[in-house]
Amino acid sequence: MSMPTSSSFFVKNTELTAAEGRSLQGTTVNTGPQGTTSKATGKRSARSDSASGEEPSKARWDEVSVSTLVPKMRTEGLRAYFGQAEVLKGISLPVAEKQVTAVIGPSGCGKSTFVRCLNRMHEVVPGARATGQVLLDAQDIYQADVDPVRVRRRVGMVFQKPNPFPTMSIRDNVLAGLRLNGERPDDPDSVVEKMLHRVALWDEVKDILGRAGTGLSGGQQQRLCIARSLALEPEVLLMDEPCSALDPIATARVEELIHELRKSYTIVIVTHNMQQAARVANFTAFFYLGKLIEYDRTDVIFTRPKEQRTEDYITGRFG
Amino acid sequence: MDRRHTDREYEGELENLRDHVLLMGARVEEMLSLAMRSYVERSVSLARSTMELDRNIDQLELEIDELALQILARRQPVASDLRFITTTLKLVTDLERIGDLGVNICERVTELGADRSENPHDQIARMADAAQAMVHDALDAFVAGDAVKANQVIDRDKTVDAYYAQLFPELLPRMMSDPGVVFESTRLLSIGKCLERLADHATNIAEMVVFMVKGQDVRHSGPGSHGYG
Repeated sequence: MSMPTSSSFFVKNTELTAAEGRSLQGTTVNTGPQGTTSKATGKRSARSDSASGEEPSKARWDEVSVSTLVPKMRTEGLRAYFGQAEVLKGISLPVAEKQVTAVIGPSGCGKSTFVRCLNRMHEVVPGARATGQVLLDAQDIYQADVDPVRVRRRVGMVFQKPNPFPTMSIRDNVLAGLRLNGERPDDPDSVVEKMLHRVALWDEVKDILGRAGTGLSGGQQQRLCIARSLALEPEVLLMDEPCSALDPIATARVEELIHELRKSYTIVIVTHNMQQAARVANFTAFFYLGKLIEYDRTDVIFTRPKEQRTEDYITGRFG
Repeated sequence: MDRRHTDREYEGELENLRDHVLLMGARVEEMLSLAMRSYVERSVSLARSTMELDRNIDQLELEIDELALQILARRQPVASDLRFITTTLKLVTDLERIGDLGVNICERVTELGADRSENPHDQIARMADAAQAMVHDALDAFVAGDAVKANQVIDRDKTVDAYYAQLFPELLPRMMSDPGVVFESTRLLSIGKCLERLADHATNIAEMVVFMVKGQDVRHSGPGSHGYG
C-alpha cells in the first residue's frame, strides 16, 4: 500500500457538515462523527464483496476515526524547554494504539523534541526539561517514581542516522539492547533470528551474522537498528527521520517494514518528507513553532486540512 | 487560491493549467452561443462552421490532461492543489461533452434547414438561455472558487429539467394532428435533450467546484440529484 487509499477522498457532504472540531489549545483536532468511516468502508467494500460474496471487511487502517481511536499514549499540556527557551508550548495529542502517527512540520517546530519527550530522552540533554503530562497506558511517565530506563524499554527509539555499534557484529548488535539492560536471553540465537526476521533482514544477513554491523548498507543498518530496538519488546516505537539518510529503495523497505510493524506496535514517526507521512501514517500531526496546529487522519490532512497554516505548509506556500 | 507557492515554477504550472481550463471554458461557451444562434437564425452555414470549433475544444482537453498529469507526477500535489487538479481532470471531461452536445445541436440545425413551423421555439430558447447561463456560472464559480455560486447552479438544474419535461407534451399533439411537423419536432426534441444534458454537465462542474473549494462531495446527495454523470 502506498498513498492512503482514501475511500473518503471525496467526503460526503454529510460527513463534513456533521464533523465537529474539538479545540485543544488552539489546535484543530478533527473528530469526525462515528459511522463516518464505516460508511466509507461500506461504500468501497460493497463493490469487492459483491464479487466475492464475503462479509464486508473491517475498517481499514486508514479509515479509523480520530473520535474512536484508542490512545496508547497521550500528552496533556506538554511543555519542553532547553534552558529558558520553550520549544514545546503545551502539546495535547493522543497517540493511537497500533497505528502509525506522523509528526510533520518545518525545522525547529519541536517535532523531534516531542518524540524525545515520549520516552524521556529529552531530559538527557543538559538544561533540558519538560512539564505537563505524558501518559503511557494512563500512567504519567514523568512522575517522580517512574524509572526512565524502564520507560525507554517500553518506548523504543530509532534515530535519523543508522547507528549500529561499530565494534559489534550484526548478531551482537541485535542483542545489545538486551545486554545493556542486564538481560541474558536463554536462547540468544533465536532472539537474533526472530528480530531479524521481523525487520525483513534475516535472509540478507543470516550467513554473515558475525560480521560488523557497520559493513551493511545504510538501509540494512537502519533495519538492524530497528531490530535492536524490537529485541527489547517495546510497546511503542519512536522513529525520528528514520529514512532521511536512505536512498528511495531502502526507504521503501523501511516503509514496508513500518506497515508490518504497526500490526504489533504503536509507531510515532517524525518526518520532513510529507509524502512519507502520507504513505505510512494513519494519523498526522502538524507542528509549528512549538504548537500543535492540526491533528487528524492522514487522508484528511492531505486532502482537506482545516487549518490554513497546515494547508500552507503541506502545499508549499510557507514563508 | 490567493496564496502563492514558495516554488514559483510550481505556481506557474498551476496557473498555466487554470488558464487552459478557462480557455477551454470560453471556447465551449462561444460554441454554445453560436450553435444556438445557428438554430434561431436557421443558418446551416453557421452550424457547420460552429461544429469545426469542437476540434479546438478536444485539443484543449488533451493539453489539460497532459498538464495535469505532469503536475501529479512531478509535484505530488496535496490539499487544495490536489483538489484543484482532480477537479480539473474531471471538469474537462464535462466541458468536452458539452462541446459534443454543441455539435449535436448544430447537426440538428443542418437537418432542419431553413424551414420553420409553429412549433414551440420559445421553449427551446428559454431552455438554451437557462442551460448556457448554468455553464457560464459554473465556470465563473470555478474561477472565483465560489461554492455558494456553484450550489446555486446545482439548484437551477431542475428548472431546465422542467422545461424539457414540458417540451414533449407540447409537441405531441401537434405531431399527431399534423404529420408535416413530425420531422422538425423530433429535431426539436433532440435539441431539447441536448440542452437538458448540457445542464447536467454544468451541474457536474458545479458539484466539482464545491468539492474543490470545500472538500465536500455533494454528488448524488440531494432529492434533486439527477442521478447521472
